[in-house]
Amino acid sequence: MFTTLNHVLKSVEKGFMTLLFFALLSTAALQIILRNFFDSGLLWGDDFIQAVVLWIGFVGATYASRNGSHINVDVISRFLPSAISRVVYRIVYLFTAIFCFVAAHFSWQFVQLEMEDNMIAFLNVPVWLTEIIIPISFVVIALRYLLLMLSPPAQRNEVGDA
Amino acid sequence: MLLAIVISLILLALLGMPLFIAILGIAMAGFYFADIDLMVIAIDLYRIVQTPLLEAIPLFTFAGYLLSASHSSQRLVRVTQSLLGWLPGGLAIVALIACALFTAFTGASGVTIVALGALLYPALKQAGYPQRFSLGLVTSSGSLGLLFPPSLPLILFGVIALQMEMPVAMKIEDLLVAGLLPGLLMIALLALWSIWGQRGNTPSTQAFSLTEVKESVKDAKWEIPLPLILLGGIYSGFFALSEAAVVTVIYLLIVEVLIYKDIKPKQIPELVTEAMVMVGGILIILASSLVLTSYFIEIEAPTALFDWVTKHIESPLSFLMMLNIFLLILGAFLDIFSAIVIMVPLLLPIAASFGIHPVHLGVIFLANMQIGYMTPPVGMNLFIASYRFGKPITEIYRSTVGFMLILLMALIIITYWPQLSLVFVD
Repeated sequence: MFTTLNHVLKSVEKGFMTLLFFALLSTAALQIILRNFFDSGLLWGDDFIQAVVLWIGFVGATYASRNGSHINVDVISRFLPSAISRVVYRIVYLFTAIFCFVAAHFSWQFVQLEMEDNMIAFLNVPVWLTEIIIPISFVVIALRYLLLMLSPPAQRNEVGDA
Repeated sequence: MLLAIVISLILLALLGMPLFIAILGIAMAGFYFADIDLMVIAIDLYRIVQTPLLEAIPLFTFAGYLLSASHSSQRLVRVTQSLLGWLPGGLAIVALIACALFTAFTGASGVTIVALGALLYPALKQAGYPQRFSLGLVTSSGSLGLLFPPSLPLILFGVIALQMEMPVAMKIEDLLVAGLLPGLLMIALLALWSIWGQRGNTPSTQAFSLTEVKESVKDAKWEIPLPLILLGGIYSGFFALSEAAVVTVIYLLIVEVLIYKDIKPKQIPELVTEAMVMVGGILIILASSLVLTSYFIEIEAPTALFDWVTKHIESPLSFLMMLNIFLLILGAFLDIFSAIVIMVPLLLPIAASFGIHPVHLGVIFLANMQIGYMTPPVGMNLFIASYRFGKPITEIYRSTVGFMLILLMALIIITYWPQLSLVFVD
């Protein structure tokens, strides 16, 4: 049940990232064509591109937390015996989750404040809707690090680290 | 209390805590003890949307993933081999140039060692190069080319520098060309070292053949124009950098998917995902560091650091020397992207006060980071090479020492000879 859900979620995230990326690529391409050949452009284009890049960043970061492959330093645990490094990872992941929950809490408060303002980012999309990815990402990242805390990876993969 | 939290977070980061949350955690603790509402973190995280040229980062990253997933590495090695393989030490020179070109497009994410090293390492050994030399060469070439456009760290440096107020005007185009001569210097010195290191041992070379040149160029005829379109377009002012990024991605999609058919359309979502996960990893660190920078400004840390440095360091020369030592150590521990987003806002104003041009600072910064990739004990390329070639890490350490000394020599020249980086800047 849990693995099926995880599988579905993984495909949804992949599909969503692909969609965001091609939305970015096609809007940017359209802007170039309009600017250079027709001397015009989409008024909302640049704001849309900015918002999409924000979403790509946060959705990508959320996906990276699936297997804990966020950029890290990791100088010490590489040289520790695996039994000890597993304990170290559990502690590290617990604190990662705690700080992500704190960040989620305060960015959600901010989004609520923005909902009252109801400013428009582009077309009819309000600013708070573009910002909502920030608290959502932090919550999901926090949950994923809690899961990783329960079953820390046995071995780090070198190539995927960066 | 604040100090205790900051120290614990640094310790956790050294133990493998994701850097973005360690950075954000320090900023949150700081704001909390400064009695500032923590909602401010969301405002600062969101400031990332105002960063200029930000869309170039996902676009160039994806372009790099397309190149890595295609057979372009084989075609690149074949063309370089046919053109230069006949020189004494030819294959070593081929390796240096091919790796530098590949890294410029794929970023130094270790993929050069994985994709090109796998081709070049057996070929070098077969041609009669000693094993230790071959291992050192492919490991140290893994980050060569960072100074060439459109390398991601180079663009990230520009993105960060452009959003700061600076006494000296800087154009992103200037930064993109600034690394050309310093990068070529590194390649030239390493090539000389490789030839000199082989005296007494004559590794085989490939006889020059015009047919092979024609064949290999024909095979790669769709990829060869890319650097020309890209660089020519940017330097002639025909496209802006972000436009060049769009053109590169569309061109590569057409070439690799439709013409060479190296990549199947159904592989694209997987490739986009891999690339965007990397982008997410970089952007969330960038966003977190915007929060930390704003906390630093709140407590006037940049001014304090500025005063301290200008009081204790007098000449630009000694500043540059301290900078190199500091960055080499930093580069050995911190990945290049985090180092850029955290340090550049602090270092740029100080460097400017010593009369160091921001473009020159960028070149110095990246040259140091490049060496950091292969600095023991934790330089990333060392681990990737150890993993990829199945050799103990200590053997990799020994194999890279000579190459590292050459690169340090190049670094000294680059640092104390600013004209090398600034020759194209008016």
